[in-house]
Amino acid sequence: MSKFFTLLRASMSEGMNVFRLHGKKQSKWFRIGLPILLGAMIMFSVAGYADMMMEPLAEVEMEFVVLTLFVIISAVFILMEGIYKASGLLFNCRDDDLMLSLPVKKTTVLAVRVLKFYLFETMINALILVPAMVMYAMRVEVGASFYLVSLTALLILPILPIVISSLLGGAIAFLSSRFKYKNLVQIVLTTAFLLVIMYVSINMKDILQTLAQNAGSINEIITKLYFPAGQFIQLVLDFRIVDFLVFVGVNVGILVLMLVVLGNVYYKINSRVRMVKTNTVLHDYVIKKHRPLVALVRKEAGKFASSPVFVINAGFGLVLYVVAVILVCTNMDSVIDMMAKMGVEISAEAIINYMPACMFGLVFVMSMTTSITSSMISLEGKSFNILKSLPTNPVKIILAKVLAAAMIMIPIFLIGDMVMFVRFDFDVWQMLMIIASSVVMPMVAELVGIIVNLKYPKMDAKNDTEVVKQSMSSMVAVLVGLAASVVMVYIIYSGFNSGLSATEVVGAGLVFGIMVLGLLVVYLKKWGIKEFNAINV
Amino acid sequence: MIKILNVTKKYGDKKALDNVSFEVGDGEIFAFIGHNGAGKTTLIKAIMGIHDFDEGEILINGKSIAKEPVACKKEMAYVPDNPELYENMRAIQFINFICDMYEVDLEKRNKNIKKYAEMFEMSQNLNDTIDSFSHGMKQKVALIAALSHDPKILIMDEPFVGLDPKAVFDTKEVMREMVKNGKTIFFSTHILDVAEKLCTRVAIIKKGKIMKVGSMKEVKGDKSLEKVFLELEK
Repeated sequence: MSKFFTLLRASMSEGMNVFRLHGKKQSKWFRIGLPILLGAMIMFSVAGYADMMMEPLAEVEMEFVVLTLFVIISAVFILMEGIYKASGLLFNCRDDDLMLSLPVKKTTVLAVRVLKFYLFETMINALILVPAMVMYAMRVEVGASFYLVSLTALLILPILPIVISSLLGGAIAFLSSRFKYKNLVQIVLTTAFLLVIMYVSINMKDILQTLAQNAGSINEIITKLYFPAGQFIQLVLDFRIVDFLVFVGVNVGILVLMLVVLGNVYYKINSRVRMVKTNTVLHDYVIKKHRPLVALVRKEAGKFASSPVFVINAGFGLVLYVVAVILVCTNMDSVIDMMAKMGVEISAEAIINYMPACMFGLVFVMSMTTSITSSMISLEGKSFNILKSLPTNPVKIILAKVLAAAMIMIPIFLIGDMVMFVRFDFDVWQMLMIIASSVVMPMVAELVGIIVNLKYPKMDAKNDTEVVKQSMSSMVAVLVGLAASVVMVYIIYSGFNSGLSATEVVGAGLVFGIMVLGLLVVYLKKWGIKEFNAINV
Repeated sequence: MIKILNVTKKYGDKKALDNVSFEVGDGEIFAFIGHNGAGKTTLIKAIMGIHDFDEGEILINGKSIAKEPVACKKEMAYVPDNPELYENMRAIQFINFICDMYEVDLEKRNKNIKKYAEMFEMSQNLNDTIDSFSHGMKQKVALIAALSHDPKILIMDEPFVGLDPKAVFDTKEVMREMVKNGKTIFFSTHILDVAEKLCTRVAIIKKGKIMKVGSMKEVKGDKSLEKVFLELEK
């Protein structure tokens, strides 16, 4: 057991130190204060949302429904994140050779990795559930048992999504390892699973209706929908020690069972995943000359394509963009319905009239929330020294990263633009401005991403997943992107309400985007190089 | 020519390099030796412009690495101590990438890649991805990439680690051939026998300070380099 905790401690000190900045001196206030500040911001937002939802439910004394909702949101979030995190955190670790050489049981190594994965997801679970629980406790008179159940639930509820995502991640890793182009297969399979989960989540209304027809009570519906949530709500409403023990026992039992099942095949899967196929036949090679910037862009694009977690993380947003464009073009009613649910009452005619501004908003939001470059410096790892030794200006190296990322996004936005131009009436100016926005906004987003990554590099990650999903840089970039998106959507909506035309809104947005782009380029030239040179690996 | 003038590099309060000064002339094979953590890699990275330094100056053929890094780097090639290359690339892609960055013309790169790939017995592996290679094979790829652009100055950090005996022999031969053509080779090593037989000049570093520097004869006198090194370490 002591070996288990020694391994766990070593593993945690490496991977969980999200807020430690590479090679930079940090004050205690920064190290402790920043995660607290970010966590508080998220929790405060969730608390506000939970309180708002509880308001109408309080009239019928059903505030617990909000708890259920947040339990399910957390579970879906962990499940979606977990599927592609699992393949990196459990099956593609750079410390495999060291771990496998240690005199510990094979299941111990797996258990340490699963526990590390679990602890990280538990933190995310807590960010979502604690505010909801606090708001519930403030509104409803709760006994001591509520606190016991809630604290236990914070630890227990992430188990099932983690078990499912680990098994799915394992299955994807195993299946893809059987193919020559295993990365491509892994990307396709993971995206397919994520789309299925999304489809199920979106169509939850139909599922709930079916469940409601076949269930005697709301709690029965919840239990049928997601049994740990049902168990939890049952305990919140009516605490019984036997139910409590069942709640803990069943979930922990599932985790143990998964460790046993996966433990038996873990090394088979892992050795297959790590197996590298070599070309024994093809010996002729082609040498082509490229300009340095082109060579750098090609290098970055190659790195992107070789990392499934990187592709899925960035690509999923782009897939959603395509889905959104198709939805707007083919099923306007569902868009109006969706907006009504969000409290925005708007007619189809108004949307069509305002389509250029909506299109601009969509490109902006998708650009800002798809930050590819926020991982690109960190993913260099120790090979960063090769880059620094090259006879080229760091600006060119940074620019290549931004261009490679933008080149992944821009074609998809341009295709979306063309589809929208065919479906809706845009005048020439509007079309030109939308096309320009589809080029400028991804550049702005990727410049922001690279600046954030230069500021918060993580050069010692054990795998790509730690960089793409669990690094300070990727988190800050996502938060900045989300905040900017909220502001932009608000501005567009305000423009609409104040009678500005769509062309005026897009024009103003584009000019603003170009100005920000210019400022970011100046910043990068002036301070970005300093940040680049200050990264010592 | 490399001129290192009063270079000091600090990590916090600790001096990794303490007022280091020496020169490496054209046509010299210069060995840089010292125990683990003495400051060898720090100085090599400073010469290559990978790390900055707090005081002093490093001149590469008369140009300052701090002020004209791109011009300096164009004259040099670097073989890192741990060949952390781009694992997703095929060997040929990596070598070609380095050639692109040094803007090597097609004829020259074709000739050099063929020459060095054959020398290091890597012709059959150039189409394989680097992540399938052993440490030694990665080291060979790093060497081929460094040599393929025909640098005036070759900087190597423990180049012989992980290489098979034939590759070690071939590397030494390449080094001899390069200095015959007036080029400069600066490398760190722990293999003192090789340094003693191969190098024209040597520097010994201890805790960031240069303890001895000069021609092999000046540094070791009638003793072996190993003995001199161990005496300095006491």
